[in-house]
Amino acid sequence: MRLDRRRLILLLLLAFTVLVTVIIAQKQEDKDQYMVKDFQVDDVLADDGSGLVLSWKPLDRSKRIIEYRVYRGVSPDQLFFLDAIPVNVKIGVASDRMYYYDNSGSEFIDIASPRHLKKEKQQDAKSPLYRKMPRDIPFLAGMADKFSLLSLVDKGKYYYSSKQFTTDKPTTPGPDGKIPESGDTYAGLKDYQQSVICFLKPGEKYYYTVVAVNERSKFQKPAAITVGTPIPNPPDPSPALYTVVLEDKRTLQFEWDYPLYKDDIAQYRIHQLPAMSDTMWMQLKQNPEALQGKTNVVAQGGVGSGSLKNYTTIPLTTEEAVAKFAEARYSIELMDYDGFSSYSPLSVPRLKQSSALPPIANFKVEDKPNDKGDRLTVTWDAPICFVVKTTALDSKFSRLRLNYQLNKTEVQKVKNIYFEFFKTGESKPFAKIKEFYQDDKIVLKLPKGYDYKQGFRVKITMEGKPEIPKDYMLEQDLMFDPPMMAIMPTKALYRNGLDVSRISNVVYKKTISSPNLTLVKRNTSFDNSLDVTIPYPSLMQKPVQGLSFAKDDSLITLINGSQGMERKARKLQSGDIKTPLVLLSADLDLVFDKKNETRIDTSLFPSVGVKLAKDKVEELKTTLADLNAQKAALPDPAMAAQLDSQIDKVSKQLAAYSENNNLTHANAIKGKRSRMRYIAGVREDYSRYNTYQVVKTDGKGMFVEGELPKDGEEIRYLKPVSQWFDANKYVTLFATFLFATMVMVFVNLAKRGKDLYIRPIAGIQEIDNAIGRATEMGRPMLYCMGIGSMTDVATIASLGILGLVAKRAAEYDTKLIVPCYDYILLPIAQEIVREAHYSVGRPDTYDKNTVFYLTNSQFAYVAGVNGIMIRERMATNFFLGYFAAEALLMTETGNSVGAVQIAGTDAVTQVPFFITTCDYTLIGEELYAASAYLNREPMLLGTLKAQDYFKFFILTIMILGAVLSTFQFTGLNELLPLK
Amino acid sequence: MKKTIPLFIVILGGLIFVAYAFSPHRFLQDDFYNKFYVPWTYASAPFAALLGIISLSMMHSSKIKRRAPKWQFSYFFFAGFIVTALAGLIGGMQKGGLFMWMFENMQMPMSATMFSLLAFYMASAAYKAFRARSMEATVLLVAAIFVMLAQVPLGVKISKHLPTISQWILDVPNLASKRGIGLGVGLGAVATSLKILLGIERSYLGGGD
Repeated sequence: MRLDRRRLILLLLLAFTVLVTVIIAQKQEDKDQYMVKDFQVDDVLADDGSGLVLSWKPLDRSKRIIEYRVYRGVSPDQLFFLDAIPVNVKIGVASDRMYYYDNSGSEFIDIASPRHLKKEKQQDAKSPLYRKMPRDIPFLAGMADKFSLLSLVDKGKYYYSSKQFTTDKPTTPGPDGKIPESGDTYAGLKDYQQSVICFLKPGEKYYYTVVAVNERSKFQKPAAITVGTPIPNPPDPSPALYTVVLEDKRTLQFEWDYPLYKDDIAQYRIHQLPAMSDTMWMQLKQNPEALQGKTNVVAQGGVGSGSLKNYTTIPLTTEEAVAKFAEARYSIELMDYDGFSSYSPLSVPRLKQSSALPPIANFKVEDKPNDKGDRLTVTWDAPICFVVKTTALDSKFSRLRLNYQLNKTEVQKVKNIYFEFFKTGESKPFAKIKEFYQDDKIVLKLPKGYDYKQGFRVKITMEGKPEIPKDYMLEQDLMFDPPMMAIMPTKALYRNGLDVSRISNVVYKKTISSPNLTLVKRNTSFDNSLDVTIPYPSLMQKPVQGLSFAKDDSLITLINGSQGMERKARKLQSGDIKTPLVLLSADLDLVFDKKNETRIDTSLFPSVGVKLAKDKVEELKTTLADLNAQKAALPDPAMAAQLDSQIDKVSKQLAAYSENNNLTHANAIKGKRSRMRYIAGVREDYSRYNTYQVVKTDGKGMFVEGELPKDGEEIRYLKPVSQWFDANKYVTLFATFLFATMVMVFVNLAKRGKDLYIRPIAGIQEIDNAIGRATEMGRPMLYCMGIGSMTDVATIASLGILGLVAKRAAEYDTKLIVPCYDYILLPIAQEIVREAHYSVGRPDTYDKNTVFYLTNSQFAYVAGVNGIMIRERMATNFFLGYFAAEALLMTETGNSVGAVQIAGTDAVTQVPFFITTCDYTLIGEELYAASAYLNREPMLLGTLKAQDYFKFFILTIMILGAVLSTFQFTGLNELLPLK
Repeated sequence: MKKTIPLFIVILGGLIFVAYAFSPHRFLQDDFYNKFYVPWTYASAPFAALLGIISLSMMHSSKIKRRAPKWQFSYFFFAGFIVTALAGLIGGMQKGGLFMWMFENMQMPMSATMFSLLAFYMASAAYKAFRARSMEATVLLVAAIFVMLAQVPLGVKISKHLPTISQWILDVPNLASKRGIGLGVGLGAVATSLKILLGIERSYLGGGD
C-alpha cells in the first residue's frame, strides 16, 4: 500500500487521537490517584456537642504532598478554607490515618479574610471550594445562625470606636408582660475592627472536604464532600476517686482525677453506696432508675468555668460512726452543662490519722520584683537544692562532678550551701563541701577504696536571707545506675527526714469577683514557688449578639433570640447606620463592690449607662418591696426566714447600685471618651486583684489546704505592681554614671588644651598613605561598611571614618566607591560623602552614583563587591564595620588585585582573617577610636582617654574580685550583675 | 536647624532607650516599645527599601546611558529585579511558586557557591599566616597545628593528650584574648553611645556641622 499524502494525514490524525486519549486517560488516572480517599466526619465523643473529627487516609509519600487543606461549609455547594495541615514532603505521613479536630474556635472573619467571596486557586467555576469566609457581613448573615460566634476585639477599639446601635422599639410585650420603652442598645463594630471566631453548634449540619496540595502548589481533586453533625454526649467518667476517712478528725476527704476532656464539666456529686463488687456497680450505674434510693449524696459542688477543683472535705457529725463511712463505697458523678453525667469506678476508703497528712503549706504571695507588673510570686517553701546528676571524672569513679539545682525566688538569697556526704549506713560524713559561689556544680572526692556501686547519701543545708530555719535539711540518695553507668539521684527527696517527692503543691487562684477557686498549676516538691502571670488586659471577648447592614433601601438586623438569629428588615431612615456592623453587648463590668458583694455593670454609652443604673435601682426596689410583701404575707416564721437571704442579697445589690462611688462618678461624666477612660481605669484595675491558695496533696486523698491570705477577717487580694527601676541594674547605672563623669572630665581637660597622649595606631596612620597611593595610581578606592545596620556601633564608627576618607578623596580628586548593604545606611552615606565634597570646595566632583545600595543578601553582596573590585582594579580598599563570613572572600579578592587594604571590625571571629589578608587591621575598639584619632578633636580624644582609664578601673575590679573570691569573699562578685 | 532637629531626635530617642534598658515599667516595655516603636519600625522600613531600589536603579540606568565598562551587565539587574518582583507579586512567595523556585534553584545555589569558596580562601589565608617568618607566626603555626590535629581522629592516635592541649589553647590563651577584645569592644560601644547621647559624635548625621 502506497503511503500517499491523504493516508499519511489520516495516520497522523489517528496517532494523535490515540496519544491524546492516552494522555487524558493518564491524567484522569493521576487525578484519581491523588484524591484523598476514605474521608470520614464523626462526632467527637464525650464533648459538649461542639466538635467533629475529620479523618482520612493520607496519600503515599511518592505523591510529594506538602499539605492537606480542610474546607468547611454549611451547604455542600460552598465550602470555605478552614485550615491547612502541613506535611513533611520527604517523610510523608507515617500513620494510616490523619485526623483533624474541628472542636475549638475557628476563624469566622478577620482582618486577613478576603473582602469578597473568592474562589480557591486552581478551581473551575463549578468547584464548591472557596478561600476563607469573606469579610462581608451581608453575605455572612446567611450562615451566622449556624455557628456560635465570639468576637475578639482590641479593648481600645471596643471602648472608643464602638458605634451605638439601638434596635427599634418592640411592639410586643417582653417577658415581664410590659412593652419596653425603647429597643436594646448594642456596641457595633466594623468587620476589620475585630476577629470573630466561630464554634460549631450542636445539631447543625456541616459539610467538609479535604484537598491534598503537592510541593508544586498543585491542588488535587477534593475528597468526597461529607456531612457531619456534632451532638452533645455524656462526659467521660472520672478515672479515679480517692477517699480517705480521717479517724481522729472525723472527716471524709475526697480527691479525684478528671477525664481528658473536661471543659464542659459543670458539677460533681459524690455518692455513698453500700459495699458491692465492681461488676455489680457496672450494671447498676447503667440503670439510673435502679440507682435511685441506693445511693446517698454526701458531697456536691460546682467545678465549671475552668475552676476544676478536685477535692472536698466532709465533716462527720458526732452521732455518726466512723466505721460506717470506712466500710461504704463511693463514686463521683460528673455532670456537664447539658445535664449528662457519668459515674467513676467505686472507691474504697482508706482509714488514716491526721498525723499522716502532709504539712500545711505556709505560703506567701508577693509582687515579683523588677518586672513590668504582670507577675506575682507564690512561695511555699525555703529554697530547695537537690542533686540533678553526677559525672565521673575518672574511670575509677574516685572523683565525681555533681550538678545541683537551686530553686529559689528572686527575693530569696542563698549565701552558702553545705553538702555533707555519707556512706550507706554511716552517720559520720566522709566529705563536706561549702558552696559559697553557686555555679551549679561541685566536685566530690570519694574515699580511697570505697565501692562506689554502694552509693551514698547527700545532706544539703543552706544559709541565706530571709533566714532559712536551722533545722531545714534536704537529703537524697545517690545510687549507681548500671544502664546509665553513672551514680544518679533516686526519685526520693527527704525534707527534714520525710520523703516529699510524691507530694504536690497545687496552686489555686481566686479573683475578687468570683466565689470559686480556680486551678493554676500542680507543682512538684522540687519547686518552692510559682510565678503567676496576670497579664494586662488587651482584648475583649464578647459573644456576637447580632449583625446589621443596609441592603438597597432597607436596614436589616439579625439579633440573637430564643429561636436563633431573628431577622428584621425595615426601610432606611435618616440617622440609621448603613455600615455593616457586628453587634456586641454594650454592657461591661465596672467594679466589684466588696462591701455589698455585688458586681456592678454599666454600659459603654453614657446615656444608656445612666439609664441602666436608674432602671436597675427601680427594678431592685420593686423586687425588694415584693419580697418584703411576700415575707409579711407568710404565716410561718420559718418559711419567712427562708426569704431573708434573698432579701439581704437584693438589699446589697440595691445599696451597691445606689451608693457605689465609681458608678456615681462614671455616670456623672458627660463626655463618652473621658467617661470610658475612667471606666477602663477602674475595671482594669480591679480585675487584676487575685488571691491564692496552696494545697499540699499526695494526689490520693491526703491533702491539706493552706489558709487564704487575710487582713483581719477579710481575704487579702494582691495585684502586681509595675516597677520604674530594675533593682538588679543599680551597679550598671552607677558604672554608666562613673564613665559619663570620666568622659566629661577628660573632654574638659582636652578642651583646656591639655595634651592627651593616644598611642599610635598603625592602621589609622596609614589611611592617608593609602589614599595617596590611589591618587598616584589614578585608580579608585573602595569603602565597605560591612553587613551591619545603623544599630551596630561598628557601623556608626565606620560612618565617622567615611567622612574623613571621603574628604581626603575629594581633596585629591580620587574616586571613592561605597557599596551599601543596608538601605537605611544609604542616604546617610550619600550625605556624608556629599558633605565631604562640599567642605573641601569640590561639589562638582561629587557623584551620588558612587555611593549606592547593592543588596542585603550576604553572599550576593560579596559577589557584587568582588566584581567591582576586579572591574575597577581598586588601588585601596577599606573594610571598616561589622563583618561575618564574607570578610575573607572580599579581602582575598582585594589582595589578588593588589590593593592596599585597611580593615577594622569588632567581630572577633573575623579579626584573624583581616590580619592575614590585609595590610593594616584595626582590632575591636581601635575601630571606634579611629574617628577621634584622625580628627584630633578634643571632645573625641577626651572620650578615648576616659575609655582607657575606665578599662583600667574594670581590670582592677576583676583582679580584686578574683583575689577576694579565692578567699571566699563573694560580696563583690554578687554585687556585679551577671549580664 | 538642619542638624539641630535630627540631633535632638537622636538624643531624645537615645535617652528613651537608656530608660528602656533600666526600667521594666509597662509604659516603656509595652506602650513605648511594643505598641509604638516596633510597629513604626515595620512601617518605615519599606520606605527605606524604596530608597535602596531607586539608588540601585539610578546607578545601573546611568551605567547603561553612559555606556560605562561592562554596561551590558546592568540589564541583568533590571531583568532579575523585574522577574523576581513580578514572580513574588503575582504568584506569591509560597513554596511551589516561581518566586520560591527561583530562590531555591538560583539564589540559594549561587549563595552556597560563594560560601563554599570560603574553604579555598581559608586555605590560602592559612598558608600566608602559617609561614614561620617571625616568632609570632611560629607560635601561631604551632598552636594551629595542635588545634587542627585535635579535631581529627588522627590527632588522638598521635597522642591522647592532644585534645586536652587543644582545648587548653582554646579555653585559656584564645579565650583570654577574645575576652580582652570583647571588653574593649563593649566599652567602646558604651563610649560611642555616650558620645552620641552627649552630641559629641555626629558623623551619623551626614558629615559636616
